[in-house]
Formats: sequence, C-alpha cells, structure tokens
Amino acid sequence: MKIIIPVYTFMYILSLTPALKIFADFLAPAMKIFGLPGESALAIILGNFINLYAAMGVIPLLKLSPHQVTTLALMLLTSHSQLLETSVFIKLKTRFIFLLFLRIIVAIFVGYLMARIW
Amino acid sequence: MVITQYIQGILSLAGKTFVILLLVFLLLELIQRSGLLNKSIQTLGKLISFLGYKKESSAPLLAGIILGIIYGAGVIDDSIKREGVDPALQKSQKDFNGTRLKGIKKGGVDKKQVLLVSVFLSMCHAIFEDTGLFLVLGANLFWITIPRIFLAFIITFITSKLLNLNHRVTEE
Repeated sequence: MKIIIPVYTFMYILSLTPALKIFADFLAPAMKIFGLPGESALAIILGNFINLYAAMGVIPLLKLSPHQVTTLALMLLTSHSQLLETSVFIKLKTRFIFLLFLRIIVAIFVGYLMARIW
Repeated sequence: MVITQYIQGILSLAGKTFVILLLVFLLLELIQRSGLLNKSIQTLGKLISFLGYKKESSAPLLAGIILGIIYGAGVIDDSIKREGVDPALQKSQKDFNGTRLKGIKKGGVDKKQVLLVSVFLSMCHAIFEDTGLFLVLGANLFWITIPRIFLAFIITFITSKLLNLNHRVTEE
C-alpha cells in the first residue's frame, strides 16, 4: 500500500507528459512479442526491481484488456522482486544465478505463449 | 478534471487492494491457526516424492508456496543449520509457526533438496497473496494459477532428473 500510491501518483503525472510516449514507442517492438503495449514494460521493470506492489501501481493506468492483464500477470508472477528474492537464494547458498535466469527465461517464454495460445 | 480522475483512480485501486489483502491475510491466519499446515505436510511428503523430494523438504516447500518465499527460506535455513548441531541445541530451535514441524525435526535438508525446493519456490510462491493482487487488476484466475503450478512441477521434475544424471556420471 505504501508503494502503490507513490508509484500510481508518479505514473499519473508521467502519463500527462510526453516522456511516457517516447518510452513506450522505444519499447513497443519488444513488448509486441507478448501482445502488450510499450508502456507495460514499465510494469515489468518496476515489478522485477522493486516488487509486485510497484507493478500494481502502474497496471491500472495502462488500460489493458483482461487478456493483456492476464499475460502481464503471469509474466510478473513467474519473475518478480528479483533483488529481494535472489538475495534470499544467495542466503540459502543455492545456485542463485541459475534460478535468476531460469525465472527470467520462463517469464519470457510464458508471455510469448500466453499471447498466442489463449 | 484530471485531479478528480486521479483521486477516483487511486481510491478505487487502494480500496480494492486493501479488501483483497485483508481477505488473503485472514485466510492465511486461519490456515496457520487451524493447524492445517502441519497436517498437510504429512500428505505432501508422500505426494511429491516423484519430483525427487525427500520427506523433510515438504515443510519448507509448503510454507513457501502458501506463505511466501521468505518463510520457505527460513524453514530451509533452520533445517540446514540443524545439520551437525548438537541435539541439545536442536531442541531449543523453533520453526516459523511456533509449533514444531515434524518434517524437519529429524534431520537436515541436503544441498540437492535445497536446490529443488528453491526451484519450485522460485516459480510458485505466496500463491494466495500474489494471485489476489492480480485478481484486483482483473486478471483471469485460472490462467494465473494453474500454469504457474504446472510449470513449477515440470521444471522441478526436469531439474531433479538432470541432477540425478549428473550425479550418476560423476560416480562412474
């Protein structure tokens, strides 16, 4: 809750300026793989670096269809809060690099499939 | 107009998130209090053996899936530390629930088990909380839970098989 409101506010202000449009156009080709608009890259970036609550603040502003929200949700659910969760794996002394890449690759794979099979 | 739209948006988002999180945490509290966790550890231990898990791994696995990755890691961490520690010290340690979990009492979880549990948990953890968040945003319940669990099972299965293969090669 503490993080949703600042992110939502910041994104709302950002969406009134052209900055977001430039960012979205830049990343649109990459996000097209998943059938998502370019802006949704922000949700993925915030979700991966901070946590899911930060991604929560962005997603309502993107005006996605339910199908797109589901694709984005599944991608974020497989790969999120990497800073925190990778450090948990480091603490456990397992192969955290393997796990980190596994999660990212699976997230991309899942997003690619979701855009096509459902 | 922009301001009213903003306030409306934030109130609806915050309100919905609050309600769903309240429900999720109530549910989690209920699961913890009812002792369902300790009971299901027994059954889970038998069910997941085909993935290469030993019985001791079911406690951290279940804690991770239901409560979140940090809880799961905490339970694993406890069981690793318990290895090689004298029995007197073992007795004084308590698990995340305040009550003793039967699975990890007997001994430690070995390295392979830790990796397998981590692989499963990295794919699928805090299943109530995270799913609840995306339900607020209007995602499809079926598609954000079932594929996740399914993938976790498949990837853990593959990792387990690969590890076994590796083990056999080094032994020969």
